[in-house]
Amino acid sequence: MAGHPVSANAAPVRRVGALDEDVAAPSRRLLHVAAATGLVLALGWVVDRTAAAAAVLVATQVAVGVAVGAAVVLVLAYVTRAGWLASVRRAPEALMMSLPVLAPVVLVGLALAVPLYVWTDAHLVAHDELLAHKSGWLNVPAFLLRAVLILALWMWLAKRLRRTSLAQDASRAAPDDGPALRWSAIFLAVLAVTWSVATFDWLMSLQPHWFSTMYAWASLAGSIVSALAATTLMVLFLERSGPFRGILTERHRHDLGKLLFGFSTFWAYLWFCQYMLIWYSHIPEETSYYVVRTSSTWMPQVFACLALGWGIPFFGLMTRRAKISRHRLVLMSIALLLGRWLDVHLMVAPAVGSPASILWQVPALIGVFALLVWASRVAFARAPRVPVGDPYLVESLPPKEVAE
Amino acid sequence: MSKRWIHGTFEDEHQLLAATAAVREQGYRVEDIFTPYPVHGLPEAMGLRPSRLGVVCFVLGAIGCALALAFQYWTSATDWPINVGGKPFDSLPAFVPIAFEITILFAGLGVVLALFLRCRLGPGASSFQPDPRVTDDRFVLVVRLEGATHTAAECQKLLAAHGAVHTEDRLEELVA
Repeated sequence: MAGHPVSANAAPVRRVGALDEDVAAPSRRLLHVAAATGLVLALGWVVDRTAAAAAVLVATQVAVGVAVGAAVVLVLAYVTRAGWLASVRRAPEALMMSLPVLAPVVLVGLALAVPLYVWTDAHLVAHDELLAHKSGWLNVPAFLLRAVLILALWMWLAKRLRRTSLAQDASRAAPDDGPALRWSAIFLAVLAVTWSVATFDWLMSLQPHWFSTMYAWASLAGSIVSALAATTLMVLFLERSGPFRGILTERHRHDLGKLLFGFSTFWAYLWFCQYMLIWYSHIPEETSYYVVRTSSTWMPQVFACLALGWGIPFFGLMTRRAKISRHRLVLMSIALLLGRWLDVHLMVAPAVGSPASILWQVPALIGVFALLVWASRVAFARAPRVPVGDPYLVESLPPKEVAE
Repeated sequence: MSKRWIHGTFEDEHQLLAATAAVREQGYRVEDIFTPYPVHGLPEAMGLRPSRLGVVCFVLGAIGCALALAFQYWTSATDWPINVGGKPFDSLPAFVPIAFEITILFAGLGVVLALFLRCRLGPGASSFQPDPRVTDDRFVLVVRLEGATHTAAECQKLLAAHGAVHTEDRLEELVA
């Protein structure tokens, strides 16, 4: 296949975009759902502050992981010049564009969760040498300031990437992926640092005496899996509801299946790397994390998390037939998303010492994901369903769309 | 009975794909296709069955995993137990990395060996090349002529109609 399709191909490809029937913007029902869950959680805040705050923290962290992970999927496709994704690229792009809506919610989640972090307890810090030593980094103003800066940076980069993509559409010149490539490289470099800081701050510091250099890695792998699962669900939904009918091919499904399979295994690999090194060396300051989680209260959930996040999808997506089956992809994507939620839940709940109530967890999850879905659908409706100016689009479209 | 093949040389992969579909539609048997690089969509156009190497890979991986776990259990818990940091002799987490490596080793090497056996590749294997340019910029479609249903001339005409720059009638030459 030619690396750079000749510009003669551009005309029929543009027509695919031009055929665009208006993609309907989503109804406001999703926003009503989010508002209703907000009320339930306000009640939770009054009844059981710790449990409600933990539920909101977990839900917002999972959701921001999906949005940032979608950006990672998008930029990886740009920097590797992966032509296969081009025709359905608007799906991860739309998921990424939920960031401007999610970022304030994430910030509210973190602000509500401040009492959950033991290093905010001045009395405790005064009597704990280690926490006193870390208080230069772990203090409330610095924590919130870093959160604002990181979320703002992610939002700005997401908007840059989106603008680059839309500029590609509008450009009548020869297709060019130079600007997209540049911003993708910048995004990856920035994310490598900011993601580590963010996870150390927002999740790992719930147990401030404990540390792991694998933590950011494992959680980034988990967020990429969740983003791939969300992308898979989104493209299959868009195929069913119209915009991607005739655009999404078997090859796309196969590739997404392969990525789900591969990245869930990558996540399990990193999860086990963190666990095994700590188990092996058996140093009390490190094992404290797993001593709690392998107790009878949490152990069943740890196994459920590994089964949903890796075991079930590993065998469920192993064959080619499974990877191209829509039904199987939907089931496995849901399993992986639940596994990701359980993973984050197990980072938070044992640390705050609350067997968090399902009463607040379910509304938090539904509410935050209603916002994520709503924002993604709005973003999707605002651009041509196919990136008509992408130089690799012809590689990704089914042959008949190009030949016409 | 003599064996007879028609070679069609193409310069363009799209013409090759169309020609492959056309000859199969006309009832010819595609013996083989020589290309300088993997052409997307060609296996489907040739009507190749999905590869069964995946099954071989899985079975060998499972065997490797089972063997590695059994061997480690035998050495560290049965034959020569050593106290490592006070951990139980039969500690599964300690066995996982090696089981993982051996799984990959068995699956990876096994699948290569299976491929070599199935394709009869190896030292001393003879090779056939219809035209040295198939390693550069030409594609050669080899059609097997069977029975009396089709004549060589018809087949050559069909290939030429789909853009073959050169066609050739060959007897008893291709080593299967």
